[in-house]
Amino acid sequence: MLQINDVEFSYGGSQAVAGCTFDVPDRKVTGLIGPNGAGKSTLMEMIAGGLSPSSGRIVFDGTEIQGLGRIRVARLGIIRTFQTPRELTRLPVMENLVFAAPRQIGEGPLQSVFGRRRWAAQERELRHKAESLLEWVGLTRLREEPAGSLSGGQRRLLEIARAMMAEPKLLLLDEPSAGVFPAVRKLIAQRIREMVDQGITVLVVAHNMAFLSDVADDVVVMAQGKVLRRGSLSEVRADESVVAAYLGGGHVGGTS
Amino acid sequence: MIYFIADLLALGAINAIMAVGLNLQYGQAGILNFTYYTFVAIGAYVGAVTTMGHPPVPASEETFILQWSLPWPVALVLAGVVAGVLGLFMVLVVIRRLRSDYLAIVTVSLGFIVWDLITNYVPLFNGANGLFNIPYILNGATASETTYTMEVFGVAMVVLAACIWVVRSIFRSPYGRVLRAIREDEVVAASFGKSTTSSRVWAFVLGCVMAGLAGALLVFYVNAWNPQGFLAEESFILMAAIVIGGPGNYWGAVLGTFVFVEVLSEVERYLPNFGNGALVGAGRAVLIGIVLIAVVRFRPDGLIPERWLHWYRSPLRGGPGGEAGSQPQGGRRGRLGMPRLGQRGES
Repeated sequence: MLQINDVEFSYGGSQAVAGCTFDVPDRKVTGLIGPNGAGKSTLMEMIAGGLSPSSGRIVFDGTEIQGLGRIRVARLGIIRTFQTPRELTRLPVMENLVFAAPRQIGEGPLQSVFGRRRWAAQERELRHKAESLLEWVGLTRLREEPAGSLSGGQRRLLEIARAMMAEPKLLLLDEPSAGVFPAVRKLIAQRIREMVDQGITVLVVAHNMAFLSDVADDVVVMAQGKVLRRGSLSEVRADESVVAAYLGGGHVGGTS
Repeated sequence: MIYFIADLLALGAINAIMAVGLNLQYGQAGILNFTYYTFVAIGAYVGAVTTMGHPPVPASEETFILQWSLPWPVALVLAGVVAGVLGLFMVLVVIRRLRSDYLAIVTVSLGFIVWDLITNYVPLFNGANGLFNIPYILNGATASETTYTMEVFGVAMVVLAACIWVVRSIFRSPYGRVLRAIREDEVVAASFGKSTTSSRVWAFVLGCVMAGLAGALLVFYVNAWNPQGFLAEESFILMAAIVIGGPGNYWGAVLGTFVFVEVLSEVERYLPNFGNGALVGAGRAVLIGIVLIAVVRFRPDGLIPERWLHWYRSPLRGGPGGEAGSQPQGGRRGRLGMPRLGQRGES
């Protein structure tokens, strides 16, 4: 589904990603872990089109996508969530969802004024779909509230629902469980598994091992801009080099 | 007295067209345009030079380009088109590279460039002296002042209605939603595959077209135009009207202009002059500042917040897209009782 091929990226003098190679198998959840500064977020940003790698290739479904930019990457079906949730704070929760639907009629100025009949029908369908997604993440009650008034956990759930609204093929989740209440974390994990059952491929950055053991089929460990190890979570946790990579070594687990 | 009211209404309607256009740019698309009135001026000049014909020689020494005498509706449309094209040109130059605050600075300087050009290049629009004897529209040449004012008010209301219809359609459409999404967070909008640049460009251009229309109507009404008519201050007053009325809400823009621009321009005559006539203008500026600060402090979303438009659309009201009978549990109380945006707690 997604191949990352010897990708490099530097911020000024410091090399954040230094020749990273792995692939994300179809219809699986791949976890991406590693100590702070390992280059995980930079790599995610490059896949999402926000940064262009200085060298290397990123191939999605047979197309090279490095340097395409956010908009075109998103249109190929790669949808992401953000490390700190970024919802459209002053818009109602409902609008936050409906906005995300891809290829809407009436997104151009002329159609919006003169093609009302066409987009009005589509609008009803999208709202219907958004309703069911809100129910799926348990936010139905808040649908007319401005998204900025939601709590941290609710924002995470909204981001997941919004990503689903966009009909992704590949979903990039950047720490979807950070800073949320354990019960909500369980819910998020469960929803991610359900997405995979619907045929979506997921790449997830996470620090919380309990969460990862719930969701990830496979884990890639990054350290200092390179892939250190790949395998199931238990294999990876048993690996000494991985343990050493986390600052001061010691215990890989712990809470986020 | 009737003339006084008619004058207020006519100017109010014309200003409201400007406010609706600027609100599309600022309130919906989030483009901070501090030189909106420049596009009003361009519309005014185009409206003037396409209807004035040749100046009566030798009584007048006016020099200006075109010297056409088109029928006024054609001139009106042309004014909108020219303002829109210049807006397109300007926005294409600046919008790709600049984000909100820098863009705002550039708009201010572009406004000064245009102002200086028009003032100093006399053959263009007769420089600092400006244009006089711009023809009346309709039967203005023979009708009484009051009648003419009422007629202009009528025409302006028709144009205003058309503009409101356009921005209302945009607000409710997927396009409007994309604009608001870009306003809230451009990175998010791009991350969902929305065309951020072209969406903003067209919103800007449409806003400029409305400025041009308003400018032409204004010049048909006041029959004279010179660079003193479009000082930078005017753009700020319009911006203030929108912030007070409710950015993003087109009714807020209309209310903001009628209440704020109109009342405050009339209040001048009641302000004390402290023995110096020049202080009256300053007093007005101070008053505008005070009102603005009060609104931003106590009603940060403006007098009619944008969310009221969402409320009208909500299923409760059976608006477009809402399914009748599926009532949200939060209901009306939840929406109106929400925390103020200026003070919302980030958790």
